[in-house]
Amino acid sequence: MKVHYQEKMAAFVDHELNADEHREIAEHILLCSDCRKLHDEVKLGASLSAFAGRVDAPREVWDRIESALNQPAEVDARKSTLMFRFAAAAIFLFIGVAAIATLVYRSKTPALGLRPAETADVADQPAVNNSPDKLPRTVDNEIARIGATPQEEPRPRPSVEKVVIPNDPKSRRRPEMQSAAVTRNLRVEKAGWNVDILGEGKANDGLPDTSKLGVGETLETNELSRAVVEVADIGRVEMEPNSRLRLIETRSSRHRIALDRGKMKAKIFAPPRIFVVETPTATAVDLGCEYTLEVDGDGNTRLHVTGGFVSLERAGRATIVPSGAVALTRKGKDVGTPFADDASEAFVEALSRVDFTDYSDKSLRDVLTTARVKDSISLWHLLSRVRAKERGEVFDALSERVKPPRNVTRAGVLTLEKAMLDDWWLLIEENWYE
Amino acid sequence: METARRMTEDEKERELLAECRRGNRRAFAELYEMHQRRVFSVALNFFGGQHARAEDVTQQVFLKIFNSLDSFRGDSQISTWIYRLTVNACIDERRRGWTFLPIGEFVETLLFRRTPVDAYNRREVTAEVRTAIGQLKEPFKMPIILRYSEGLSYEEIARVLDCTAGTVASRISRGHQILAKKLRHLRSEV
Repeated sequence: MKVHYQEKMAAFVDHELNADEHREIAEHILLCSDCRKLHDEVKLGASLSAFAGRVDAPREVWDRIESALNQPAEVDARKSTLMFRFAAAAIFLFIGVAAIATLVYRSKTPALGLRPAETADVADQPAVNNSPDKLPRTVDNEIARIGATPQEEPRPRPSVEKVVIPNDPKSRRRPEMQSAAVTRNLRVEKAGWNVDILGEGKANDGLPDTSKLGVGETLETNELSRAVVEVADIGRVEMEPNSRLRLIETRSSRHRIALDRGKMKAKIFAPPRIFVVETPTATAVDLGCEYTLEVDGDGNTRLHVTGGFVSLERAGRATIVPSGAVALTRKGKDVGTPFADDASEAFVEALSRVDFTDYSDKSLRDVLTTARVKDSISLWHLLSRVRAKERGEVFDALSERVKPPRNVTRAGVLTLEKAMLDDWWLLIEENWYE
Repeated sequence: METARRMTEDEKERELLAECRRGNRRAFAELYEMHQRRVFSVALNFFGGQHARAEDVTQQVFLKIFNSLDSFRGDSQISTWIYRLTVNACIDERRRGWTFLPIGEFVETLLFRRTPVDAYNRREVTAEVRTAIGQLKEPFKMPIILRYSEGLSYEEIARVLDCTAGTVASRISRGHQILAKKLRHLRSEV
């Protein structure tokens, strides 16, 4: 296997190359089977990696951080305690030495007339005040005093929150709990998506701040304007002129908008099914991708996927649309059969008849006779859409274009056995990217 | 617009940093709130979905941020600086080697390894992907995490990892090939 674009394939898949390089590799892939294989592997890796996703840290982490931030104060307190003990011991030693020296001096100077007992009293006096058994209690009291008054030891990093060194460990939890509450509030306050209106855009009255689109608000572009909407932190949507978009829901596990009319391009970096767009006739569920969605005045929808996959859903039925394919919806009808964006006009027209206007033997025959190998994705979808009596015809047409795997039988496909359909799909998908 | 928005965010962050330097704990809480997700996510994916280690790294990173606020000179974006700290913390944490997993996580890991089919049934494709990413060698792992979990461009990843965008592209390509081989049975999930 000789691969020519090992270094750049990920950049190609991720659209990180300039236009010339991108075109060069795209053309090369068409001719080089080894690079095509590499491309498929990298693309699969990229699609799977999108599952990694982002996750909020548990709240306890902040509590632990706060607790740790409070520790230096305790260390300081411990340091001051040690210093205090050291100083007390030094004073005690000094006084002790002084007392002994005095005693020795006085014992040598009887002229002062002090009795031995008196001498002992004098020598004991300071020792009583600094006795070792009294010292810990004094230190404890000192710590409590420092904690109870604002005149505490300066901390290495000053804080506006007063650091309290408590007698009761329970009281230490209060400032942490307060901060946790602040954290929770901050989470709640996160609402609204950044919007940039380009050209002579207008916003509905319901949108108080043109730089943010909040839940329940509508953004509308006129014939001269476009808008760029940041979809939380997972991607962006570009609205074309004469489009209307509503933000229905935004939370970490689900972001949902409605495109009432017009055209939008979405580029999303998020795990599958996080970003959803409702249109009047279908729901587009992002599976980690890039696509264009267009809604006309009647609510009919056109989805064109340019990267990854989108699941176009309606009435509990989902159609997976891969990169390079288009799917249509019409009012009151099921989601149309997806087709290649470079399919012939004749094929698209015949497919549209089957899906929406004139489901007949002739229409189906037109689809089957105009289909190329690349149109196999449409034929595969048709297997489960046509009537049972026509399924054999579709099976034959599809088999001619992509030979079914060994375990896939005609009988199994005619009864729509899921495992067989799935296995065949994998082969068709490989051909699709070639 | 993108540039303008970033500048605004960056300015806000810099104001927050200034407040943090003055010891404002609430400002630090806000800074934490702004960045906790990216730090935790990078660590979680780095350690193949081990929450306990990701939590430890998140804690270490934010304590490091708090203690080195003065050392941030503003040459790069704050998020780039935080990513760098996170990458280093992950590597340090890994060097510490084997650690105890919470019992629940340990049991789940065992179950997951033994019965992957059950795991899919529990919609844990994500867990398997994280595990596979966590098992990649470091040069391949971190660019993939920064790209697909964090959505960074190749240039941004290059700045965080202090290498060229070409190196990033090459490592991501190689990492994807390894992932594709390991996870080819999940093909139908994408």
